[in-house]
Amino acid sequence: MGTSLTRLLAARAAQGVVIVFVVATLTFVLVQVAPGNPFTVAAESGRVAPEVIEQQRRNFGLDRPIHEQYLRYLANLIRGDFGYSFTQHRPVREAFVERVPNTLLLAAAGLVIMFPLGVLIGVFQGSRPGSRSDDTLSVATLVVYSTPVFWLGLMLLLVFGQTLHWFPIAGPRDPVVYQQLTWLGRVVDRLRHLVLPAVTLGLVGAAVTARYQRAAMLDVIRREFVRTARAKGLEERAVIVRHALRNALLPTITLFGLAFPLLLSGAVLVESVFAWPGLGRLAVNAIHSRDYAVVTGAAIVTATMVVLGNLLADVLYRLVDPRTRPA
Amino acid sequence: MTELWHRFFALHRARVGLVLVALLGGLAILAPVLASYDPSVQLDLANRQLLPPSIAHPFGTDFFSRDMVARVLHGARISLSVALLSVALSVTVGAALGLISGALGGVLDTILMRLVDAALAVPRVFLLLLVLALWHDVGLVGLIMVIGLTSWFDVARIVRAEVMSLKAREFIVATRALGFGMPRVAFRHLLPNVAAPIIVTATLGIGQIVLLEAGLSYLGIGVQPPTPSWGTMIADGQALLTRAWWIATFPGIAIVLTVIGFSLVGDGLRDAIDPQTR
Repeated sequence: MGTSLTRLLAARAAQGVVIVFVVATLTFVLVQVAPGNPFTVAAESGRVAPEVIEQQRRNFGLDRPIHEQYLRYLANLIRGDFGYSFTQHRPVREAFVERVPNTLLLAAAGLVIMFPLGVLIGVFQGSRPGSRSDDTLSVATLVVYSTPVFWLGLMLLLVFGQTLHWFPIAGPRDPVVYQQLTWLGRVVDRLRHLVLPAVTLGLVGAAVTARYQRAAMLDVIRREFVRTARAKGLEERAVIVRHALRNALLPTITLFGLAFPLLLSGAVLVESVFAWPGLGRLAVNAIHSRDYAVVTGAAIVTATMVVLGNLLADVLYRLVDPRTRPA
Repeated sequence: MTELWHRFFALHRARVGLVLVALLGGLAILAPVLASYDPSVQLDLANRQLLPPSIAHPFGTDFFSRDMVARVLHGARISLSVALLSVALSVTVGAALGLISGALGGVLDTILMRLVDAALAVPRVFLLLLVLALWHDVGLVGLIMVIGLTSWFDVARIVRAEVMSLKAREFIVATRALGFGMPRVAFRHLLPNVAAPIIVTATLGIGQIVLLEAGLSYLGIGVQPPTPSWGTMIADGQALLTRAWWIATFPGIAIVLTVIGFSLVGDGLRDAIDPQTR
């Protein structure tokens, strides 16, 4: 199976590269057609001399013809150069290197909560459709699915952070005692800080997954092979777990690929609620100070993450589904 | 059509959804009549600041002594108008481009679908952050345009897929064989047949855009104060969460109810149109 899977991977990766390239080009076009330029804020403030701004424009190549700017922009991107952040006073890449791991940690923790919980609820519901527990859980998932993720975060913060004091309310670690902690203490401290943001993100994802998984279960359960399994006299448990579930999990792997945009979009809001120093919060703050390079870079980086996530889901799907498993 | 409505009304959840949507729509339309106070008037900064829920102020008052009932009701007008208009825009653009792409095929189709792939790869909030960063202070109309013009991608994809499968069907092939041009076939024969998925997508989209607008407003880049918006109310309430929980709580409940309403109606329409999916 080695070579054909490699070939498939290569084809998918090539598609991914095309998508990221189109995203980068779209971003460039958007920046070009938008009013103003990166120096508009500085120029409008009146505190920066026009000669300095002209000098800066030349330094960044903004006086060059547009096709040259575009090629230069692409070449920079390939080198991982996203430009310079005026508010951070450092290259955008440096800010990203610092922030992206925090966002990935949050998204990964959300993913770890989202899938097991969602699949469990969906399978439970799908194996007893129309029952009272199915109805109750359907209402519950609908409510969570309809809840703005930032508001859910605030409510969890209000109850478990500020009222019960079970978990810290903000940031990735304790600002005071963290430095004095042993490595184990540091891990515990970080985990405690991670719980509320991750649960917020994970719960909304779990509701989406459960709705999806329930539908997949219902779809499978009325198929003939499930009826056959029942007719053979298998226990209901074995029918559900060995026959229905194995097939009903396949569509959920596709959802795994779709989960990345959901988690990354949610992370932007959750990061703002819990003062989590991730990419989303960086981008939002950059908007308020009109630090374009950060925002354009963030769009390209998150698109790349989504493409990689889809690639991963694709490979997983091929490996798990024997019908598409390369011979 | 009447059969469709019968099937729709036979669904308990669809009825609940319809009642919710009608109720919220009614409240939004009648907000100026129903609210006892003006949503932006600071009633009495000295004595009526941060009042907890009471008979006079069922949802309490905020930091500027404004009545929260009035603010939530007027917020409904803004949230629902932004959502409805954005969806109208995104569905029109998405359906038109999906129809053209699917009906004509060829290079145009390839280019358009690659663009859609790329646009869908950027998480929606980041795409909106990018556009809102470049066109800052867009105002309410600008916000509707921005949301509408960044939300048509999946509509286009759905319509295109439907059109592609319809094109192979006999009645379309027959119409083409009769010598009718593609524009006529597209608008007279293809469009009516893709109306159902478009309506379902649009209804479900309204709830999603209510969530999206609330999120953007919460981040301070959506609806701008003093225009009352649920998202900004929640952001205002965040700093006062322990002192005045009601400021962030009631607008949040309003959002949840709105989204549930449109989700139930959308699901109901989908099930009524295609009883196979359940």
